[in-house]
Amino acid sequence: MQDLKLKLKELLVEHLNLQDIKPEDIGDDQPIFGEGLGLDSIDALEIIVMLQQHFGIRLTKADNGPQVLASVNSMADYIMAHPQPQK
Amino acid sequence: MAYVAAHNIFSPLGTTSAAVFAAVAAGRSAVAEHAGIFPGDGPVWASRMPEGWMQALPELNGTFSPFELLLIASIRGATAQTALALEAERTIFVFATTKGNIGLLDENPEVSAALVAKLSLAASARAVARYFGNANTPVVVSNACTSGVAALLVAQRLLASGQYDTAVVAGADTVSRFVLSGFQAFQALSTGRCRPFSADRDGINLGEAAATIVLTAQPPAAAVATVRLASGAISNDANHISGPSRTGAELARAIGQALAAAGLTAAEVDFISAHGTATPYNDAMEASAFALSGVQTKPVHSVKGALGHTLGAAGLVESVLSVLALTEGCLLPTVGYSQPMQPTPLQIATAARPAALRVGLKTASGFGGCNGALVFARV
Amino acid sequence: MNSPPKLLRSCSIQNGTIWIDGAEVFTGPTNDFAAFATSAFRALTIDYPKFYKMDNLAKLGFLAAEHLLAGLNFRTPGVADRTGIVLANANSSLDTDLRYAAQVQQGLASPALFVYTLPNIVVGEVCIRHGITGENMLFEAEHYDAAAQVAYVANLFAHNTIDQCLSGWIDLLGQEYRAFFYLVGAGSQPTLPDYTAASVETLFTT
Repeated sequence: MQDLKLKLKELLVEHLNLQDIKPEDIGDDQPIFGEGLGLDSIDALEIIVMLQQHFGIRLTKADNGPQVLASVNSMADYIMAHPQPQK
Repeated sequence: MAYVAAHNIFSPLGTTSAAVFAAVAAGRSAVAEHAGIFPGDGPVWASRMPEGWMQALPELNGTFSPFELLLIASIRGATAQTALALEAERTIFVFATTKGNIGLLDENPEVSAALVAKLSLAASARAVARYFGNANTPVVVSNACTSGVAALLVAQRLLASGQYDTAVVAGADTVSRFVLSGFQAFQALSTGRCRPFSADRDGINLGEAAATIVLTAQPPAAAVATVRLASGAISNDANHISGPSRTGAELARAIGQALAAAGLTAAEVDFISAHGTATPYNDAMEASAFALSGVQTKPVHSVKGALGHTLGAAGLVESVLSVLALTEGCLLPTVGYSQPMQPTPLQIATAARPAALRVGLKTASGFGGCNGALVFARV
Repeated sequence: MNSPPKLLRSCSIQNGTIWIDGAEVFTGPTNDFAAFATSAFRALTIDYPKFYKMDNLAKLGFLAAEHLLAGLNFRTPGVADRTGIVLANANSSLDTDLRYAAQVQQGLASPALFVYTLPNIVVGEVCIRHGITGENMLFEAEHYDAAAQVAYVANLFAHNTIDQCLSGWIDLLGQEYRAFFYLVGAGSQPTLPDYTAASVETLFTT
């Protein structure tokens, strides 16, 4: 689980161009939207594409996006709860 | 001020302005189900030209791309029956497009200098203008989804400056995997035919089309009902590059500016041809903008459910329909409209109805935060 | 505006160098635009992490505008809405279009990349950064035509649509890039050149 969370943090930094942030600086439970990492609506969509690309997860508007994407913990929980065949 | 001397819409709903207007007035739609974008994707609803449409222009097939053919077909459609001197030095071509020949990338070609040259919007414009014998360097406006509206405003300004007598304003965009995939990544595509200004709206349909409006500095000679482009204005939300402003304040300001420049009040607007893309945010923003500028009680329509969102062509397609609404005295319905949205329900019709119309307002908004408003008036 | 507009300032970016009014103000890596952009941004010492999400064309425009508009505040009513941005460009957003198309070829589509596949986004980024809400227009042209641009912008002043305008040329494709921005408006200094095709052409070719 810890490996998954670290990987998520690394992917967030890479996909969202978070230049001045190190993966280890992102808290597991830290809200990443709003104040957190300064993410906006495009970043939310980008994370959805990232989850699809790396974990095979297809998240649509109906799937409680805001809750799932709220933090690294919530994303990791969702991934563990929805195992997908790797592409 | 500039006068509408000729116009055309070349689209999946028809290849003359009159045919398209009649189709939209009758509540028809060219939006249909098409194959998904990537393997495993659900179907995509879009308005596409019928298979084989380019066969209607056999002599040009092979010399021009589909995008350029759309433009040529539309300009021809607008000007063939007129005595307009397209090749004159005092005639300028103004083009509107967001992506031009981008569809050429769909076939995954090798990127080469030749391909890069073909992808140049300005080069496409030059080729089309030259086809009609005009030697002036054409003006090309690429302002996202406000391009059509912006191009008309630019043309009006060029005529007002005295540099030109006639402006052929033409716009087009095609439906490509490039663009479809992007809007899908934005989760902006509707799951069916889009529902502008409806409580259950869920996204856009893309569409492809071309439209042309010829503007002249002098009124047309024929003593038929004439429409002038009275004024226009462009603004920027300065808020977010893809999300519309939550308040609609900057679109409202463009509307107010355009009305003031035309010497008109909000009360004198008879109808609005809205951008109405059917995304949750755009339609809410536009409704707010209408309320802020005092036109929220006016009849509003969106044609995005009939023709899809034709991007760079949209402002022109929808302006042609606005011109016809004025000359035909007919308020257009909004295909796809279901239930009124809250908190700002608008006056949306589900069927066309006759009305004495003098002033029409056309609005548009686009990525990059741009907004545009045009005022058309019967002379 | 009662008197004809003046050419107030200019900023040029090319070959890893930034000039303001003809004076070199920054040099960075010349072999890679991305590296140049990052070093030029860091040299500004501003807090604007959104910069890193921009594509190369938007970064180029952002940097040029940041230097050109340094010290100026547009965020007041009557100023923001009367400031225009009118730019010309040759290659549209092709640099990003090709990157995006390569993604689509792999069955991927990044919304953060797709949003930059329009040439006017750079205008949007400058508007957001500086609070500019007036007329904004992006023209496509195979070559920079100072005369056409000056005629168009001067017309906006003559019709009282704007009081100041950021205008010029911006283009980027691969490692070929050039930004030439200038600010037009009311200027009292007698040494300021009049806003004419000749004065703009001179700056562009210097």
